[in-house]
Amino acid sequence: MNVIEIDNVKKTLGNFTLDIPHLAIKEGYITGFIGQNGSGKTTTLKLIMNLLKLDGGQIKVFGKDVATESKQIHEQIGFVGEPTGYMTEATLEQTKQMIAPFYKTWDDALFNKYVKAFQLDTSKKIKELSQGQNKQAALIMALSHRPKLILLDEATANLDPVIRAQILDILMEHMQSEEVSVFYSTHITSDLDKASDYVVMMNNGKVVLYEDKETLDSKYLIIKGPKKALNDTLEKELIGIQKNAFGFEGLARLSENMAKTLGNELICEKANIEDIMIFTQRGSRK
Amino acid sequence: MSTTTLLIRKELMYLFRNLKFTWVTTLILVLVFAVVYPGANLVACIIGPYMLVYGVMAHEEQSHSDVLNYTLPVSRRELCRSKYLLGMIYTLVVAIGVLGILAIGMQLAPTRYEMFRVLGTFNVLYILIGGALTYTALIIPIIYKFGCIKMRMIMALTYGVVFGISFSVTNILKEVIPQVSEDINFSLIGGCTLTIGIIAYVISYVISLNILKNKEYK
Amino acid sequence: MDIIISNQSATPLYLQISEQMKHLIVTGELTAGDMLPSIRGLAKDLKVSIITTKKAYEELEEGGFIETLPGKGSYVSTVNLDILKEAQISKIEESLHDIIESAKKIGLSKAELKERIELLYEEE
Repeated sequence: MNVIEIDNVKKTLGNFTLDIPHLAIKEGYITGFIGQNGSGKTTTLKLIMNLLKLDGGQIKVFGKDVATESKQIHEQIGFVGEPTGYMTEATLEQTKQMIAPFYKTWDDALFNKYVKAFQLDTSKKIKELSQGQNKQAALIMALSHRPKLILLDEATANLDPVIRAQILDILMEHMQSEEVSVFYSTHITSDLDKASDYVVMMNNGKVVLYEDKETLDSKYLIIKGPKKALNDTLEKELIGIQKNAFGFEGLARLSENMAKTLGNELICEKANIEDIMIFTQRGSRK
Repeated sequence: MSTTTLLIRKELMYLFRNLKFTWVTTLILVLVFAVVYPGANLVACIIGPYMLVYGVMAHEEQSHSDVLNYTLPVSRRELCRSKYLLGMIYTLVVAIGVLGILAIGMQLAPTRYEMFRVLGTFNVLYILIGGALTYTALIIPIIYKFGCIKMRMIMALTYGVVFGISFSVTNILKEVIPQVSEDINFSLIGGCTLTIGIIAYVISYVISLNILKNKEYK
Repeated sequence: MDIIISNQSATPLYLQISEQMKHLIVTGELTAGDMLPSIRGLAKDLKVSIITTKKAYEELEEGGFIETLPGKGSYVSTVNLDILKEAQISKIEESLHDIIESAKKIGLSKAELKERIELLYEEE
């Protein structure tokens, strides 16, 4: 089951064009959305939330069209954007009083549990909270109505590692129910290493990679070796090849054919998500 | 509670609990204008709703909390409806308040407020409400389309007009009324102003609905 | 139940998990009928993807070590563990065949091979 279905979507903003022929986000998993700044992650999330209007194509969430049924869709979405958008002069407690009634599934006990977990002072004004606390408050508001889909746009950016780990931990806890899906964008690849089941990589408004974590962990390797070992078959399979005076290196997605051609002079290293991003970026520049 | 009601509740809660500066300055300005000069009553009644509507929207725009409205489970139509209902609520409250001040004024200084007595309570009320609705009808679509800052620039041109009209009309009425009180049908003036106000408000609502339907939050 | 996985190891994560669980089952730490942690719970605790734990459990199920009841969870099979052990032993014998063949090819004697095996066994 797909919680989000993006079909033939096009959106132009100034010089930038988002072009996604097809992207389906699976229900019940954490999908990480990665890419350089300006690659289209925020635009995509805003289109899903109906904050931006599509130039072409269609986006469906829970099977409903975002262009016409956003109200029903939003009831089941917990969204944390950048900026978080909560009323700056209100306290978290007051914010809850104003916003909670909009959601039929609001759970006060859950709200209190998260406030305690993050140790937030609900009597402080939102503008008085630190950046990290602001994000935590936004996350609490997003999670407390038990949404089926959690959308986060750079929710962990600019946060220190301790708070980031806390946030990811709470997200993973939410995943214990199979109906909850998380789709979050980040440019911090180590977050994805820790918490993601699928990874979507964007570059220049296009989706350049969509893999499950297990495949990313096991099949993507960095191949290094002397230039003479770089034959045509190998060169075709490698992504983002870099050659210098000392040899070459490239990214490979291991297939049966490839594994056979690997000789002893080649070094194969596991590629983490950051590596995959860098090599893919390099590859697309040509 | 319906979504529209929840939106109205949200704004009123935020305005009165957290935007104290906005409604206190509005209150003071309205009182000042309502008291200082008889003709300024209309100005007071226009400024009241304007400052309250503008105050909230400007704050939301600057603090980027307007995005929250677009991510809540509310339709654009409900957002628009709540805004216009709030405008009406502010208008009615300010109008009745100004009328109350007038009533007191008429007791304390009957000669100064003579023309209002002649106009009649209801007609005065209709003019106040009509004027406020017309002005509010102008600003809301402009804010939706161009944002608060541009709206202020555009409307700054009209401030002079509003003051001018209020004072000249009052002066005219002051001269004219004692002489021709039987000839002029004040109910007509009152009724017309109110009708114009209501029509302007409705047209404005339809325009805002269209603007809001396609509005993007970049 | 101790399951320690390494991101640096060459072995895929799901395999590390399934192998360690197999070990626990074969040595009797997990007995027939024991309920295993949920795919999601395990993923959260080990800090790996749900896909990984899912695959690990699929591996275990294919090998006959566990059974999954939809809606209830995964349990250690009541299948005779001796039979499973036998299956593992056959696999080891297959690998041993390959090792012995490679050793003969390069002229490694039985004694030398035995020595190396003993050294490595102590190391692990």
